[in-house]
Amino acid sequence: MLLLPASFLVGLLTVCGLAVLRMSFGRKNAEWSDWSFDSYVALADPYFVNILADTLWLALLSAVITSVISFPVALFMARTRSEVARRMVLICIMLPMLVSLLVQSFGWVAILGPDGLANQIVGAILDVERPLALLFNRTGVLLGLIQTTVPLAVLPMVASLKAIPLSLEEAASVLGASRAKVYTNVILPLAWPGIAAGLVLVFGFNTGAFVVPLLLGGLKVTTLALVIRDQMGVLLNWPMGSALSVILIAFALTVQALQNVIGRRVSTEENSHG
Amino acid sequence: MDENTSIGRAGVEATVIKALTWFLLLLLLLPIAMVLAMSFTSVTTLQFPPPELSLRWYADVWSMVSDEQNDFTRLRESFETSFVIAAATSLVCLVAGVPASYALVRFRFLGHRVVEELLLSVPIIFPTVVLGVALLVIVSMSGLDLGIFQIVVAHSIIGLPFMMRNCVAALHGIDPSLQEAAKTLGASSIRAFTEIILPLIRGGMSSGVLLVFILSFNEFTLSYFLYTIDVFPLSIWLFQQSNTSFSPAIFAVSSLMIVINIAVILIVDKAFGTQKAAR
Repeated sequence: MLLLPASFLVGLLTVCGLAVLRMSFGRKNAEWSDWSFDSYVALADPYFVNILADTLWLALLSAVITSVISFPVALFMARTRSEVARRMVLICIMLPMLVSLLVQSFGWVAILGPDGLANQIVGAILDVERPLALLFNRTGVLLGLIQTTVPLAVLPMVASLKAIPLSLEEAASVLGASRAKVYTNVILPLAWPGIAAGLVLVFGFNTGAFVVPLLLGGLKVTTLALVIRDQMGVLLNWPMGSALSVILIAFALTVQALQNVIGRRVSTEENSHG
Repeated sequence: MDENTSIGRAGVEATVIKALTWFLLLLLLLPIAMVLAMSFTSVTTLQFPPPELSLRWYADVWSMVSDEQNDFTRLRESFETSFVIAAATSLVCLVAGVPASYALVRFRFLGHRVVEELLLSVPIIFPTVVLGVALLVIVSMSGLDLGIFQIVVAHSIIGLPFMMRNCVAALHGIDPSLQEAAKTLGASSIRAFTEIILPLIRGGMSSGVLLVFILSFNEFTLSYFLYTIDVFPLSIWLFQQSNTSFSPAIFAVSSLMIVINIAVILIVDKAFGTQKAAR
C-alpha cells in the first residue's frame, strides 16, 4: 500500500526497459509484431563496433584519471579534523555534478575554445598563437567527463580511507616502513574496495554519457548514447536504437551488480574489524 | 591526542595533500567560474578576460523577462515552465517517496532487498538516454497530449531515489520506541505517523524536495527528448540559444541558474549539518 505511488514510477521505468527489449527483436516499421535478430547481427558492423569501443575507452580512461585525481581529495577529506573544511570540499566537488552540464559546457567553451583561457595561457608561455585544439574533440569530452564525476570517485574512497585504523599505519612506521611503503603496502590495499567502487561507478556513469559528448564533442565524438539518439530520433530505426539501448542497460546493470559485490565486501570487512 | 602529528601524516605530506586538493577543486570549479565571469562582459564577443565589466547582459535578460511584449525569445515562458515542472516533480516525489521510505525502513517483507534496489539505485544507474527515447516512443504511441506531465513523470522517475535516500536517512535516525510509545498511549498508526514521524523527518523531506527541485530544474537529457513546442523548459531554451546565437546573454541566464544551484546546496548542507549535530 505504502509503496504504491513509488511502484508506479519504478514500474514505468521497467516498462521502458521491456519496451526497448521487445523492439530490439522487431523489424523496422514492425517493431511490435515481427521477431528477428537483425539488429543484433547489425551490431557486428565495424561502424557500431568502433563506436562501442570508443565509448568504453573514453569511459575507462575517464574512470582511471578521475580516480587518480580524486585520491588526494579523498585523503584530505578523510584526515582533516575541520568539519567546515570537509563540508566545503564536499560542496566544491558536488557543484560540478549538480549544476547543469549545459551551463558548464558554456564555461568549457570559454576555457578550451580557440581564444579561450587555456590557449591564452599556454600560448603566452610558448609564444605561439592558438597552440591547442581542445574544443570539439576527444580531449574536451574527456575533460568534461572527468570534471562532472569526481564526487562518484571521492565519496566511496573517503568511506574506505576512514575505516583504516590509524594503529595500522603506526605499526608499519614503528616496524621501519617509509611513508611510501605505508602507502603502497598499507593504505592502498586497504582502501582498494573504495577505489574500486569509485572506478566502477564513474565507468558506468560515463558509458551512458550523452550531454558532455553532445556539447563538447561537436559532432566529432560519437558515443553509444548519441548513436541511440540518432537511430531512434533521426533515422527512426527503432529496432537498431533499441538493440544499442539494451547493451547500455546491460552495462548499467552489470555495474550495479559489481557495486553490490564490492559493497558487501566492504561491509564484511567492517564487521570483521568490529 | 593530535592524530596528525602522531606519525608521518604531519608536515610536508599534509601540506602537499592540502595544496593538491585545493588546486584540483579550483580546476573543477573553473567552468562555473568562467560562466560567472563572462556574464559581466561589456562586449558582444566571448573574449577573456572581458575588456570591461558591465551589467548590460543582465539588463538584456531582465528586459526579456519583465516585458511580455518583448519576450520574443520566450525566455520568461521557459523559466515559468521549468519552475512549474520542477515544483510538480518535487510534489510527486514527496507523495511517492515518503510512504515508500517509511515502508522500507519500518517493515521487513519478502523481496525487501530487491524493492530497495529498485527504488534507491536502479533509477539512478538506468541510462537516461534510454529512458528518454523509450518514454518518447511510449508517449507517441499512446497518442495522448500529456502537456507538461510527460516531463514531470520522467523527472520524477530519476528524482525519486534522491528523495527517498534523504527520507530513509532521516527515518533511520528516529528511535522506533517513540512511535511505540505513541501507540501505547492510544494513538492510531496513522496519527502516530503524522504527528510523530513526519515532524521528525522534516529535515530529510525538505532536503529531498530541494534536491529534486534543482535536479528537475537543471535536467537536460529527458527534457531534450520530451519537450514540445508548448512545453519548452529553460534548459532547452539555453540549448537552442547556444546553437543559434552565442551571445553573452546566455551566460547571464546561466549565472542566474548557478546562483540558484549554490543557494540550494548551501541550504541542504545547512539542514544536514544541523541534523548531524542534533544526533
